Amino acid sequence: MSVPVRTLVARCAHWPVTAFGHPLTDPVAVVAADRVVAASPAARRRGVVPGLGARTAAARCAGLWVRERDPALEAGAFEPVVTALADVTPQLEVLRPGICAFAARGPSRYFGGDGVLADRVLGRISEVLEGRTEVCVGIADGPFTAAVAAETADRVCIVHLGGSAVFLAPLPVRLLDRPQLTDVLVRLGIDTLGAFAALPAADVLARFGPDARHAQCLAAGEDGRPLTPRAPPVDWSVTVEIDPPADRLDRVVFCARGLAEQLHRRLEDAGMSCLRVAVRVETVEGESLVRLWRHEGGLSATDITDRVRWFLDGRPAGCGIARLTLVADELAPVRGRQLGFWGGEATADERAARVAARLCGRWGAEAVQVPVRGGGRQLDERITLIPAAGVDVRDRRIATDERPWPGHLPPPSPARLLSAPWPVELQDASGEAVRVNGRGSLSAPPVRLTVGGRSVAVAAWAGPWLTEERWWDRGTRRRRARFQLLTGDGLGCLAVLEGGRWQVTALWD
Amino acid sequence: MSEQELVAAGGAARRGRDHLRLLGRRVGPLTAARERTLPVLGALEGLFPGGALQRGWVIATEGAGATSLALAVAAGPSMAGSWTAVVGEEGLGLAAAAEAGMVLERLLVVTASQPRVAVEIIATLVGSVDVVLVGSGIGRGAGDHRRLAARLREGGSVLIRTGGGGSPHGADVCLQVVSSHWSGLGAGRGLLRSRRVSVRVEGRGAASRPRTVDLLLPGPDGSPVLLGAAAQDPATPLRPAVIGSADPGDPGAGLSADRGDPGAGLSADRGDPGVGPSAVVA
Repeated sequence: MSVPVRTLVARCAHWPVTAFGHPLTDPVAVVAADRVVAASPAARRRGVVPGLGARTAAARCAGLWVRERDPALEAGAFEPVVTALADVTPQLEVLRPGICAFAARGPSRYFGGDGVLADRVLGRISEVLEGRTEVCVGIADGPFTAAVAAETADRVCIVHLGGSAVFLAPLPVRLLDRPQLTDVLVRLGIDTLGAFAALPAADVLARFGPDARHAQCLAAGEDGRPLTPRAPPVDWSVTVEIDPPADRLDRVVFCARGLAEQLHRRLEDAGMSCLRVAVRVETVEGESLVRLWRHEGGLSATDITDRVRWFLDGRPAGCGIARLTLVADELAPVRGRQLGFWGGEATADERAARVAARLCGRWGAEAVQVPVRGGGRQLDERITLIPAAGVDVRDRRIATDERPWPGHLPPPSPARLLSAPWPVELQDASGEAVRVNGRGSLSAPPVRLTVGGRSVAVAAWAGPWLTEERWWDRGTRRRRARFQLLTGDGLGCLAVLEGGRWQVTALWD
Repeated sequence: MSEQELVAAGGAARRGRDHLRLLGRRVGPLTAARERTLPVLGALEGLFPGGALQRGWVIATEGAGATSLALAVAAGPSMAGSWTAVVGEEGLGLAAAAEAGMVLERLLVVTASQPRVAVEIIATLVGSVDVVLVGSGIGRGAGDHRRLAARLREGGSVLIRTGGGGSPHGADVCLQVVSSHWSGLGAGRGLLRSRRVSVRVEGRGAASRPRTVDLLLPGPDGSPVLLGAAAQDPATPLRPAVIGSADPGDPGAGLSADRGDPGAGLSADRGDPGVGPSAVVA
């Protein structure tokens, strides 16, 4: 475990709300995927809490402003805050929009102590935000403790050197931000970080796994935030000279995309993923701007491009950018996809993915489809097709639907489904059309099948198998009776009676 | 153990053997000739000279059951790790494909609006996927087919054409279902269970001698079963005359020519009311 780094975390409360420019006295809820993810204090007072459905939230609080979450807007709005701290530290990290952190030891000594540094940071940020939201600053050993300090602080909270464990001990375990783990811990009667830290490490590892053990280290104040990221042994940077200098954002972003992909290829070859990226731009005036972005899950090429856009979006336009550099700052080994044991499969998968992409490019995104299993009683519901463009065709696992679906046709399944079913007539021995009554019994055994004027004898048949689906919904309800028919010339077909009309929908060809 | 369970267990064992056999091929030392072929299911080895699909071949299936036969042929390479693309076959029953043994994870379904487009799509796919499955209405004439065949030989893929409808354009192996007989369905009872087919094999080169192979397609568990396979059981010795008349290169072809329908024993419980799908209120 590495030695905790003295860290300062500055936190702007309710950032998703503030980013939209609302004062905190407005009742505002920010939603993502129809769930409230953040709410202003005014909304919270009226019962709107994160995790609530958007509709319920609107019902609880009349006049609630509901805004869809916008990460780009949040990042852009946070940019002035970060810029304001540029003369406090050169190495600032944006943990996520609204929260930033930096190593505090150097600045603290320069400005004359943690207290002075915290006040200075607080002052800077408050100046920029002009009282739109509350700002809290926490200084402690390690980023986790510092973040907890910032979260629980009134304005400033400084945990003295080596005092992390004592500071954390009485606080609730939910601060670990691992809901599944903390849920169990609370039910076991372990509701403070101190109690969790006191558990035998080996038992925690055995019962809850390595992630929980890492959480226990955090709870004990032993915060080795670098999750054993390896020190970059080589220069993981890529640079592009932009000539003539770019004065439009889209051009820079376009260069950034190519650059990010180039960096990613190099990382991929080395089996590494990037946890923190530094974006450095140089303008024609010789000004150099650096920004660090971090993401625990690893930054993809698209993520990096997005971050370049967010970074430059917040700057005044008109300064020509002559040089763009991306540096993979912190790396961790990829624990990702396990390739096939027999090497050939991986290359076959690659080739198939490439040809799928090529066909999509030539004939449209809908041209290539891949099957997925769905649930249902009808043939066309059990396996459906989705566009290949939307999935990674290389590494697909199709889950089998183990649910019973009573009423589905047992195998063998018909080899041919008719996209345009054949309208047919089914007659009994007296030439009358065969009917099925409401109770599912047959008027008479079928004898002849007439398809488009051609009539064949029915050699064998079975049915009717009734399905009545979605009877509760007038718009989509379907009531069908299905038959298996075997014609005299040996053709097996699936006949369906729906609304008094017979159709052949599939053939056992 | 009920009869159904026995059938299911037998099917699982056969699938297991198929898997083992394919694995054996892949871990064995590669020779140049072997590298140019794709494996097929054990039941279908008798259909092809050399017991495997040669890369670059065009295979046509015809007759009642052509689609099932095409799926069964494509299932072997798919199980062995090859990718399959289906072009211009919107109505293909993917459930049936999965039951035949095709691996849906390695399947691309490409829609083609016109026959001409389909030719271009197939030409793109060849070389990237090992098996291309197409419908009958592909290409406009002999020229298209010739160009496609050249592209196949170059790219090393196998093209399987279903329901050729008598178009003779350059198939290396033509599999025609000459008779098919379903078992399992009665008058108002039972279910389609398995189908006995006779497949006539014709072709060019090594496959040029016509012969007939009897199969259960699909077998009771969905995958094809060679009817001659049961004849290897020592408890039922074969009559010498049958062995004498069989093609030595093709053990499955003549062996089952005059045997009783083995499928009949598999589906004795026609009247079982529990077999069919039950009426249900969703």
